Amino acid sequence: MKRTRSLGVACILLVLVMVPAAAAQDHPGAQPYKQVCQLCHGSEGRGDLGPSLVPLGFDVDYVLAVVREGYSQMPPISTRELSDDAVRQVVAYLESLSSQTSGVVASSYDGPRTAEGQPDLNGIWQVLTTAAWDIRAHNAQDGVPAGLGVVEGNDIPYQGWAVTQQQENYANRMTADPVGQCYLPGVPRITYMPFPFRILQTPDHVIMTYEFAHVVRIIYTDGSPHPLPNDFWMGDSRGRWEGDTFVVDTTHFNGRTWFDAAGNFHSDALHVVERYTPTSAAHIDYEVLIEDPTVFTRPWTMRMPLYRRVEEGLQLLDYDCVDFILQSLTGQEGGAR
Amino acid sequence: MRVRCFVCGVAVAALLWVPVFAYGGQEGTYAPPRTPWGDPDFRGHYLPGPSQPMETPTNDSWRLPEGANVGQGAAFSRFFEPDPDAPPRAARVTTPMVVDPADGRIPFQPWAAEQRGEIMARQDQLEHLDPRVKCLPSALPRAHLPVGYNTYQIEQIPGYVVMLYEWNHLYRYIPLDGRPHVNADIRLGMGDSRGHWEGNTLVVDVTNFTENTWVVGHGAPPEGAPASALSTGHGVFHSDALHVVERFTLTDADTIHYEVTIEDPEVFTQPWTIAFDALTRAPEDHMLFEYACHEGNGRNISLMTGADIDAARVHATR
Repeated sequence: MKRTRSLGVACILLVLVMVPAAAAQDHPGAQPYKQVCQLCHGSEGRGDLGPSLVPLGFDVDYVLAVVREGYSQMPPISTRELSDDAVRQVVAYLESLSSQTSGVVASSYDGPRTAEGQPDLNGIWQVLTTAAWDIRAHNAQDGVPAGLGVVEGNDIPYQGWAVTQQQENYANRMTADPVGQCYLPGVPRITYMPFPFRILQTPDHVIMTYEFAHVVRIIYTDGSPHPLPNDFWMGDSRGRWEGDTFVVDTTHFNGRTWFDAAGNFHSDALHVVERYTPTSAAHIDYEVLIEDPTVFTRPWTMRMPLYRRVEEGLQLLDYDCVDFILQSLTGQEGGAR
Repeated sequence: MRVRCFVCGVAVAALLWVPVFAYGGQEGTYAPPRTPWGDPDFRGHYLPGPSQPMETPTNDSWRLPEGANVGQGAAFSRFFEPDPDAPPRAARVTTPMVVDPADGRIPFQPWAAEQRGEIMARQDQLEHLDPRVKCLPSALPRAHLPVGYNTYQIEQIPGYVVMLYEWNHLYRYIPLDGRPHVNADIRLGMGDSRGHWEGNTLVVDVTNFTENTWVVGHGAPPEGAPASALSTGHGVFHSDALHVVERFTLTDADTIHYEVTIEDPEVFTQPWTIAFDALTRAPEDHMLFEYACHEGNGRNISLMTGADIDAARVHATR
């Protein structure tokens, strides 16, 4: 009975996806995409050696700049191979694919909503996983609780050289972990640091403020694209609502952060897609898609719940690790007595 | 015990202290727009206001103590060369920020004036080095002084005003529901803010500061004054008894006037007040960028003080 129903749902989904996809092949941008881009970015922009381009988080000017100058592993492409007009057509093609695939997912969310009709995520949240120490399954160590891991399949698809690099990171983790040096933790690590964070949701932005090192992520939801290449510890985040799911696309990392304290790592080609799906007033299903063709053989996923902190009068306090470092240098007790 | 009684006494005196002047007469002349839920609407992006001296400018308001490191003072002033990349700023104002007491001077207790001199003379020692150079929080009102790196985003939701600071990615939530401050044992780099509306003015009461930040300090010495003069506002330290009351008022569509009373009976002889146009509305496309201070400043700190902050980073948080 259950199996029949799943099959039925699968058929409907297949129809929903297939019909517009077939029409998209007539798009004038489909042909140049196939000739030049598909080899790395996969069929219909779904990603292969290169990152997925659907949904497309960049505007035409940005794509033109990257196509001509190259970016990370991507080589520059000349106007002879792909004219400016052809780039514009490819962007339009990828945008048409993007609008088709952002299908509305059925939601059982019955919590509060904003005046704009979106789930109201305002408030203080925190994870209860052990992902901050190790995102994969791990046994307890002194000061580290055991955990089942948050990586789907418990398998991080490292390339050969990266397996060795991760093992080296793990061996040196007590001194090499960037967070141990009080550097900004990057995304998604900041989400599952064992500290609360507060979501500030307005009609124009979703702003995430974290107790750890007073980190801030300002997530623009006005449809604006990522800026031209700049590197940030926390990346550049652009958000959108897909039904009741808040989807955040983050790129432009500096490649100096880790995923956890166990040396799981990435490069500056990291592309993170977070999906915040509230399932009740007090729970968010947090799913993270990780892409980094420099380090991994394929995209992979983490998933964990976020819990709303409900204590009366709760507010974010300080965890200013800069202060701890200064105290160790001066031998003085700092301001946080 | 003796100290405690002294503090109590001064605190009582401070409670009895009533401001005589309505500084600048800024309030009530402009009717700001309202949020959908009826609060004055301060939302938006802001740049710092025009530069302005802290105190009545004099060249002798601070002297090097005997045996001080004079060379370091000279090096220190180099940090305040004009920044070509800073956003455009309004013309410099020459009147002092300090509007009370009437002489335009910060009312240091004598020992505190001496201590301030020591701090300014010993910027090559990590414990005296400018806390902002060390990437500690700005504290208040320092976070609102006119420095190029101070740009702002203000957001409002029912029951809260939220201020975001580009410098060192600081932020503060200001609840407006009249709740009490957190427990006195809790210490916060930006203090603990509690706000309410008085007409169109946002009044914020801030306590629970740490002891390792400065009250003020900014890079705008007046013409002719040495950078070491108190008119720069640098080195004005405080105790954990610091109590700040801020008043934010939109005086036109683009300007937030800022008046703040600073009270710390362990350091100053009386509460004192500075007032200035602290926030100027930014151009449409303004956004706050990531200012990863600690990540970038280690080499500077090592050069200035000889401390190996890079090595310390690895061990301190273990």
